[in-house]
Amino acid sequence: MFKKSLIKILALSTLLFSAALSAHTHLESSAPADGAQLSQSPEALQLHFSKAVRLMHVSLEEKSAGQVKLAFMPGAVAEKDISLPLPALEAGEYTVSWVTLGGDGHKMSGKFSFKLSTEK
Amino acid sequence: MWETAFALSKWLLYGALSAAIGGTATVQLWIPSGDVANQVKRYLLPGCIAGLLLSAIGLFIQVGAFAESGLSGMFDPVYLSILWQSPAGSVALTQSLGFVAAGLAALLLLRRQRRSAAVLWLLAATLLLLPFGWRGHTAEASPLLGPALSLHAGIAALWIGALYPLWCLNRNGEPRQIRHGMEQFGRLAAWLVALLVFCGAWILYALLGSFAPLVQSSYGLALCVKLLLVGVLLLLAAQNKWRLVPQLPATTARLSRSIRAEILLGAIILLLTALLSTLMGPE
Repeated sequence: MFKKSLIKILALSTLLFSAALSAHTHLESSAPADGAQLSQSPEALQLHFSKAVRLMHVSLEEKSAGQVKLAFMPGAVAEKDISLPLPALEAGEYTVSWVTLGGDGHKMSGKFSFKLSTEK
Repeated sequence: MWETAFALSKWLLYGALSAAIGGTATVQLWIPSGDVANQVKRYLLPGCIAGLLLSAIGLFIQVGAFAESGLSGMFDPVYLSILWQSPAGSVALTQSLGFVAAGLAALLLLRRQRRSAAVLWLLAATLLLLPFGWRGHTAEASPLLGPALSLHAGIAALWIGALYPLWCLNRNGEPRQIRHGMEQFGRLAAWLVALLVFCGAWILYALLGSFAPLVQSSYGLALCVKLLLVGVLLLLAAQNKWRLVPQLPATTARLSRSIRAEILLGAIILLLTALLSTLMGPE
């Protein structure tokens, strides 16, 4: 009886715990996407994370012109989808850098790039 | 730099938490009345005050890490406000309250109000241990993993925090008191250690997905070092329980050395745990 109960408890426990730890929150997709080649300046920067995060830093840098000023303030509300308006961008190679605070309290960061060419 | 500072503050916090949980319980249960005041003033109250300060320091270090503007960033009001509203803030607040409750329990021990002290100790332990599942690698995993981690941390704190008062008891106590305290602690520890190992193995399995990554990743190998040290600690504890305590008082000096070695090993294990949970991850 005791043996059977023990086996049942162990089996149930294994089921409950067997879900291997989910990976840290990460950027699932963005617009512009990583490596995108655009012909028009995007109106907004959209970030889609795997789980709700607090966006702590975001910056946009053009390879030769340097930092592009963004209207960004870190917020206390955790969101999965974050959209930031962008100013009209000149042609160039841009890199977006982001830092988030995940629901697990971890600091996560990443970068992605896109190209904007105005040639027709 | 911030992550290393956070890991070190966590290490010291684990020590303070061990004093608050394991130290208070041991002083309450096995320390003779005449030595309680000494233990409260030299060990329990400093531990609780250090814990209170370290809870706040840990939060400010995290603020500094996110603000990314040097040391002054630790006090950036925008990032402080965000962190305060995140799990980091809840952990700091709850553990601070836990240290206050543990400090009050220690003060009640000074006034020989052991029953009220026991109630406050229970509250303190709950407040100090609950937050273990609120952040870190276990926070977003299975819902039972948080309580398992709290239990694991609680037993470890009970064990490691008990060592200093037991060492003092062994040096200053009467042979009858030493034997009584060590035997009771040994009996309780046997059950608790089994639970500690069970919870630890469970958490490990959930974090890694299987036991294979233990030898396939740097995180796993670092965990192996921790397990090895825990193994040595268990051997020392077993030696105390089955060889040295039954031969007391002839083995008093050897028992003292053994407990001192356990304290050192415990501190190294806590340091490794703080580094593992801050600087490395299971992925």
